[in-house]
Amino acid sequence: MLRTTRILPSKFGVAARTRAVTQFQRCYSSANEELDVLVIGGGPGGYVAAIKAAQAGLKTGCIEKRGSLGGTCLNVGCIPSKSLLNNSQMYHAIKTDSANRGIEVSDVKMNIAKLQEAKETSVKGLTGGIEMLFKKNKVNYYKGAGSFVSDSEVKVDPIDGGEAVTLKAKNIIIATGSEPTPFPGITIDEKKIVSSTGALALEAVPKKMVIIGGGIIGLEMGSVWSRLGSEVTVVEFQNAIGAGMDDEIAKAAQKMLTKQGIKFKLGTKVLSGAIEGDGVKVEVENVKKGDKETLDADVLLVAIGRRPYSEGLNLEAAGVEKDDKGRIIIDQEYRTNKSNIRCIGDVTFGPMLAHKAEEEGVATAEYIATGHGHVNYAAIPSVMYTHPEVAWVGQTEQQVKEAGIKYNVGKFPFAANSRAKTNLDTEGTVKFIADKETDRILGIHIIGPNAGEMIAEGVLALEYGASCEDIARTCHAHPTLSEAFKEAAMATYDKAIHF
Amino acid sequence: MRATRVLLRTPMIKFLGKRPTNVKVDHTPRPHPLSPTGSLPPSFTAATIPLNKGSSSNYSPPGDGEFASRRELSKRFQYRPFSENEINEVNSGGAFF
Repeated sequence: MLRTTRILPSKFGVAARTRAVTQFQRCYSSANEELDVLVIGGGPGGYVAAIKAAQAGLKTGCIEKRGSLGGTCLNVGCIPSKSLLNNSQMYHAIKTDSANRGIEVSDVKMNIAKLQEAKETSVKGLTGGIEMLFKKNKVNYYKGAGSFVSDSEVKVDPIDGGEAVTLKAKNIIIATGSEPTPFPGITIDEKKIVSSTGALALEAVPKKMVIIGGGIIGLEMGSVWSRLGSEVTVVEFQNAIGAGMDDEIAKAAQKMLTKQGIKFKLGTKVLSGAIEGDGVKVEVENVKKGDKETLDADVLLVAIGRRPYSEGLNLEAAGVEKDDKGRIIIDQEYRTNKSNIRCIGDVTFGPMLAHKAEEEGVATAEYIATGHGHVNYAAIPSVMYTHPEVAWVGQTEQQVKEAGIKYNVGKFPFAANSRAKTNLDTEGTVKFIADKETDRILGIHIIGPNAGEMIAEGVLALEYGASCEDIARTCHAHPTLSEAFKEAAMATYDKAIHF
Repeated sequence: MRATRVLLRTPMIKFLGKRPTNVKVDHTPRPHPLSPTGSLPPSFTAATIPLNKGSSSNYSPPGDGEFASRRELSKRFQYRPFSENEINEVNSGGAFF
């Protein structure tokens, strides 16, 4: 353990100093002892790498300055948004859909404070759970801000004050994640003009909400507040929503979200956005026609994406190189130009997805421990948790067309699926794209109930190089939504039974 | 007949089983599969030997028709990683300005 005097001056009592040590770090080795692996950042990439390295028998530490583990994903991203999405959908369904199901309810009200409390409970449970996993796996946890002193030493400034300590490590993994990209000229105050972080913590339902960006974050947050009664307008520069989706699926998603009350202004660019009086004025322009208009909003959400975050790391001291977009440059084994320093997740190349960072966390720990690692970048799924959900893996139809590959497409609508029918939740389709000659699956695109869970079967199929016939000849339980998946595979190489 | 067809059919799925760790891996730095430039800057030098384990003392070379890495296979069997455009679309939320 660290000597307590290094954390708090001696004027503090022994108990206080001991408490400070406990709050700052939980150690399973001496501070002077060189660590085998030191991870900077406790998000999905970092904490997974730390646990995996510790499981491999390496003396491991993890530095996190947020005060809780889990990074953006658990604290202000995937997890809190899923809590709001799930509960707002329940509220919306009770209000609008219960009578059809023979459930008579009246005086249904939304308590936003309770909604936020439920979200916080989920977040705290999960972030606390990672601390438990660190304890279980004997990962030293340092609650502080890490900055390089040299290419093998990192200084940690405790978040609750106190004296900094310098840690030495044979291997260092940078996993500092990303932050919301600001919109030039628009100042975020997280009250009226918000990033995704502020959009998750609104204390009241805004009467009108404008969202810049028709990607996953914008559409998920738009769904939450629209269900709770907000009039939501999404402004998107491109002519389609849904970053990276198959065109056909993106169009279907837009149609379904429009039916739910969300308005879309596609092919529209934002010129300015500023707080005026009690609201926000957003000036937009149609890209093609040049028509300008001003949108009024109570809340403006800026959701134009995220950028790599390496602030305060003092990478110069370690000599680690970044590219012109602020991404740390890595090789095939996640090594930076300093071979003992590796980098994973949002702060380096690739799409900023928590599950991609987790895969890289495992791989990089394995590279350090064994010299072998594996991430299949062609089988990384994407999910949008709107209702219905949208999920996909592999190539889109437009991509295979551009590549000149001869392909088959097979689709199956949930309207023809027995379980979807009994659930009265039949919007959506499963779409397969397969090589015409070999029947090998190239891409799977789902819009419909439970798409986010269903895509796991598709990822597995892609990982193993399956054909549509392989899926179609695998027995799926009846009655389940997954039968739609099987039937879409059947429709690709032959014919579906139920459609 | 359908039953006959099922019996004759060979699934495309290839189960790899437990991944061997005693194959030789070339640790020379190469561009990451998602590198937007597909190249490494000159500051990258030869990699150091892994920390522990991963020793090649029990190395056994792949047999006939076996490959240590997917990279050694023909392009047809190699993965198609994300394109730079797709990465940008995901990271930007589909927005450009």
